[in-house]
Amino acid sequence: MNRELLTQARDGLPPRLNAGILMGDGGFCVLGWMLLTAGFHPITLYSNTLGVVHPELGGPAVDVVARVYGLDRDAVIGLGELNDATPVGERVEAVRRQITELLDAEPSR
Amino acid sequence: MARTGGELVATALQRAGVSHVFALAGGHIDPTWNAAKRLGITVVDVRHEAAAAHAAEGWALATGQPGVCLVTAGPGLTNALTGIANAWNSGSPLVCIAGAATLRGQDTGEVESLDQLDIVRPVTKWARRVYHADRIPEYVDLAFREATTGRPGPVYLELAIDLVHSVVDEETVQSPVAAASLARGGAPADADVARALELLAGARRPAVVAGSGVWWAGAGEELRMFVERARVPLVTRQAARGIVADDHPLCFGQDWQNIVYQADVLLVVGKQLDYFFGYGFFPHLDHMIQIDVNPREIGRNRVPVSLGMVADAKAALRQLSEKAEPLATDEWISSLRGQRERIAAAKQELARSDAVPLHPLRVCMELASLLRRDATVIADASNMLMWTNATFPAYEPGRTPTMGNLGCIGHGIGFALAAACARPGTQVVWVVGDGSFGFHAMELDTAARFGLPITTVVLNNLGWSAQWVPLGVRHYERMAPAFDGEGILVERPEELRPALSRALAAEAPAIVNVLVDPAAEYFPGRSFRGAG
Repeated sequence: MNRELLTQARDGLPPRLNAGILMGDGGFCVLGWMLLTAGFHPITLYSNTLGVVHPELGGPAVDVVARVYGLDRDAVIGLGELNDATPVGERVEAVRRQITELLDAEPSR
Repeated sequence: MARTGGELVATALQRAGVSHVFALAGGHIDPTWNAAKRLGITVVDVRHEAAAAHAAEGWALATGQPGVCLVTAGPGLTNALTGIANAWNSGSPLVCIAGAATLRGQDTGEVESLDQLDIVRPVTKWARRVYHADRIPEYVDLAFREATTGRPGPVYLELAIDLVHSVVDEETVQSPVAAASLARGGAPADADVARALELLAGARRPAVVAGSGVWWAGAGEELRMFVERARVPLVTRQAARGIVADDHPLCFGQDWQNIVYQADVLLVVGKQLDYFFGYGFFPHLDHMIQIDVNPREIGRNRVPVSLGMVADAKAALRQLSEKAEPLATDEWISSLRGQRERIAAAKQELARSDAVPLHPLRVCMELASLLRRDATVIADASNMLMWTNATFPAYEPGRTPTMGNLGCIGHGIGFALAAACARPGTQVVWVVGDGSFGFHAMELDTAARFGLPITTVVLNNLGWSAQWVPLGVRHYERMAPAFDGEGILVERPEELRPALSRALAAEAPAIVNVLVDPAAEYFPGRSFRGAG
């Protein structure tokens, strides 16, 4: 796990996360935010976004986040599903808690 | 017989089959304007030249034929530039004919004098100034050839005011020889076709992505035949929307991401590897096969392409369908249908929402339920595309033009004017956000003057949602009476359907101003477990 990057993503979470789209006008979902934090900027917009564009590192968003953050694929899917299933007013806190749990589950070495 | 330069332009346009020209009057183009009207060409005079260029592109998107705009010198051309650039980025055939300051007046401080050629060159396939009136027919003919062959795009032809007013003896004017056919590109080699079929046959989850190039090539029938014979699921993008109807058993509309990210072999036909298609970068694929008339498009962005064919989409798809065998895709198609049903159920849940302010998806779904199969729905741009993309099916080509990757906003009314001209008597709806509405709302006057009963639905979330810059509650519906139309404000769910029904039945332009939830979110239809 890339603890430093994951901590950075958690601590810098924006005041609002959207649902259903990685990055669109008005904000990011948690996966979009994690990708942006990791330096992925040109993400396809305006649809049911699942993919990341990068000449060497791109691919399905779940796989890219899992690879860059050193997380299990299921953990990333869990974050995405939590994001989309949580009401907007509670979403950021729910995501923050989930990331904290991921960090706590794997003690730093 | 003596003819003015303007008459020669208009006659050449008529010979090219032009029935409508989108234009804004100006002294530099008067002779062409008047001659076109005398010849029976409909000159749709708009209120801003950008709308003329957008409408010309809209004509191309609606009909498959190049659209024509006629604009005056100087600011007339610079105003049109955004519409020309939009057509350039999207690869839409458009012929822009512009007036210009006199040939004698260069560098004299003449009014509306500008180096227009240098301005348009970066956003056109071909740009020329005509210096001799007797060569006008030749240049107009060339303009149409350039706009429509190879990768289509906008072209520019400039005629100075003294040239269009000059008089020449018709006997001295030589019209060009008409090309017997204008092939857009060549056919692929047989060996490449065989290899493409071999790669598809080895796939577990093959898919076809059809882009605008299929529409411009007139290859809809060939595409349908190929997917039916090979039994391959299909998604359509941009101008290819509706070329195979969304309710065809093998067509999965435009929800390309759900399919592309699960596919293992992809056949991409006439689709730019651009922003709207993940730049074509899908490293999970075993193979990407690409067919494009534009050689620069093959493997663009360093995308690994197993087989690239620079070829005409129509010829290539015909060859593929002649040799295709049915693939074992039943399970894959069944899985995709299941996913589609799940997404549809998620949408329906939001569409039933009685929340106030209204959810924009509810507005779109309600509108979609009132539209006939041959309706044209122009979804303008930006944030609202999240909902319109998820809502409006395409049953016929040229019915759902939307934003190109230039990222224009407000252009949709130009597209709507063109669609209404091209298909009188059909429903034409412009769905637009309140921000974008402000760009060219005055074109509703054009619609009124030409008897085009366009229905405008403003998804009014009270501001620019991209940056959350507020515009506040504005009564855009009150503009409609100024154009002899009806305006309706909708604030509550029970008001929506009657308002939309009334607007669609109106015989004049109508505006339905719907106050929607600024905090509305995209429907939760994505499945992370299906991706990868």
